Amino acid sequence: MIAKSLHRILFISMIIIGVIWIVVPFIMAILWSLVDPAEPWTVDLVTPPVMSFYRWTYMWESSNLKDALFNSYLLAPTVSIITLIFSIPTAYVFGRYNFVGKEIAKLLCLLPLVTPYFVLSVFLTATIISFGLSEYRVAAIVLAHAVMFLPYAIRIMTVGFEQVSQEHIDAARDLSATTFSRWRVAYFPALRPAFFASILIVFIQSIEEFAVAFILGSPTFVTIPTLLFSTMGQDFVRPNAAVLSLILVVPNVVLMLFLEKLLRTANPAMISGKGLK
Amino acid sequence: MSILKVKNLFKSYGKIEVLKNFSLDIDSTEFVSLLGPSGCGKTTVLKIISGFISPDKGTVFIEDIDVSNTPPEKRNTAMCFQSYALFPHLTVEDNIKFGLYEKKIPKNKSKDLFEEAIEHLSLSQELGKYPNELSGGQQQRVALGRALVTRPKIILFDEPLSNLDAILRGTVRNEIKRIQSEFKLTAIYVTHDQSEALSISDRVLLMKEGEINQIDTPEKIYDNPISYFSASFVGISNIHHFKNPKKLENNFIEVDTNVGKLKLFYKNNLTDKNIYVSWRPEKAEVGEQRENTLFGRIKSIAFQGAFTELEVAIKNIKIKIITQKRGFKINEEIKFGIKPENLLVLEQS
Ligand SMILES: Nc1ncnc2c1ncn2[C@@H]1O[C@H](COP(=O)(O)OP(=O)(O)OP(=O)(O)O)[C@@H](O)[C@H]1O
Ligand SMILES: [Mg+2]
Repeated sequence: MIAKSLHRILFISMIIIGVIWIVVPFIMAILWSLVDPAEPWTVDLVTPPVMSFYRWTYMWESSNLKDALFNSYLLAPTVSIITLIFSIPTAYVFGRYNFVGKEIAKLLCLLPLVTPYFVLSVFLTATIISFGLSEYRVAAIVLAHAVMFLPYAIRIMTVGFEQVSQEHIDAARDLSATTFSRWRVAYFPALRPAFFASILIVFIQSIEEFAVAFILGSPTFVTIPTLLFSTMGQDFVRPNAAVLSLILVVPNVVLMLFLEKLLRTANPAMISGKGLK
Repeated sequence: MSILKVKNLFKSYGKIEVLKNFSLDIDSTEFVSLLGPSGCGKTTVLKIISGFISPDKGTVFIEDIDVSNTPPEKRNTAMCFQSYALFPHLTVEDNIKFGLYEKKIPKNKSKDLFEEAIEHLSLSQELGKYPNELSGGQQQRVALGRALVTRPKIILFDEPLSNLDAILRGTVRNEIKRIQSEFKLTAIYVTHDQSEALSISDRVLLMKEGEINQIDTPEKIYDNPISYFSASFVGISNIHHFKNPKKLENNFIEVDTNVGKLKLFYKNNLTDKNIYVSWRPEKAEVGEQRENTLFGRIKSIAFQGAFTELEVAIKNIKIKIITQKRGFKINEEIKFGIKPENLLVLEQS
């Protein structure tokens, strides 16, 4: 009885929080992005008096939005893949071997998370300039993002490697499998969910990151967040900001739903190879 | 002909000695069970034979070739894992063909091998399915098929039935035995289930704390346990500590035990280690006997259909008796006896 009503209370609070945190801001953003410049949306009105796609076309044509989109959607996937590749050796060792001091080593790997991004980016800018490498500022952003988000990837991939069944590896070896086949039948199926999770997290982190992209990239290299902040900074036009934040957020949501679906197909029975029906 | 020789294996993890001077010699087509309590080192032995663990000391010969330094992928052994370890995203067909492919067996030969395995294991209906779409018994058969399709010299089973329910266990056990003899495989079978070991094996190797306690045919293990451990681990035994052995004529001896004096037949010389005498519950004969007659009070009666199990107390010592006779009452005093030749002298170990 208590469990049931507790369940209900939790469920209702979840809905309320969900509405306050997600639905309301979303609707507000959508409404704001539709405000027509002819009539301002004043506090006494529930919805904008005149609605149009003017702001959308305006932002698309007049600002750096096209460049920003291109840059962001080039940067984020590149960073996710590179971070994933960088994380594999460390995660392999953490996930497959036991050694003294492993827990401390794992903690040390999280250190980049506590370094403020501004400090990191100022340091990197200084380095780039002093080595005369200003042309490589995009590569520097990629590298900086990879370093910043590596802890997430390592943590996720470590769990992935822990999921690989030693018996599958042994069974493959026992049947004379080559190294490649061993990875194909024992490692990859178990690592698949971790691959997706790591790519997803790093992708979202990278696409939303401002400090490094701004300090290292400006003024030539714009991403959606840097464009968003500069739009807000110069002359803050709320409807324009709404358009940008929607553009920033919607693909993430789509991507998340898509990956969530992929993750769900990787069910535990498929990973363990056991599971009686 | 000896196909597998394991000589003087030692293996320790830190301070724990897992194997202590373990040696074994197995003939071609023989079925040998490794039976022993949890943690006695059975899996370790299998992993050393298949090459996944290297021993601290000792050698492994397969067909008289020293393979001690050969990695598992180059050894001609195949392992059937306790959890089956089927590759979850490969179909039954691809699982079974995996070894054929990885061992680069020519196409036409591998086709014959595959079809023969499928037929013997009755898996032709399941080829397109994935492991998680199979029942436990079917998964076990696929694991077996995957291991034997390449015709390894030795097939190793690590508690292959422990994930099956009791009914299926009997069926699959008989299947393993049938396939082993049809394919003329040499098999080493790890189990801690004594009835499994007794029913399926040519020889049973009884292990205790990393050492061989007794290795014999199932009948001999049951009828002539040599140690306290084998008498109590395989089947049920009544075991008494004895003192003051006295030699009588014609290889009989008489000993003092906590249930009274017992006369027994023992040809060999007693050593310091021989301190127990044991007998199987079904060897007791109810009623007045010529020798070794004992008195006791019935404490419990369990009628089992074909026989009745009695628990009898002599002073405070509980004894088990299995008899075909019926009509017992609780707290009834009974007499029973054991023939001297049915009393066995055991070693302490
Ligand atoms: N990698 C390891 N590190 C440390 N100790 C180990 C390791 N592998 C096995 N052991 C120890 O070695 C002993 C024998 O292990 P083994 O797996 O051979 O037992 P087993 O007879 O197969 O037992 P079970 O019936 O439970 O499977 C156990 O005490 C176990 O704790
Ligand atoms: Mg074991």
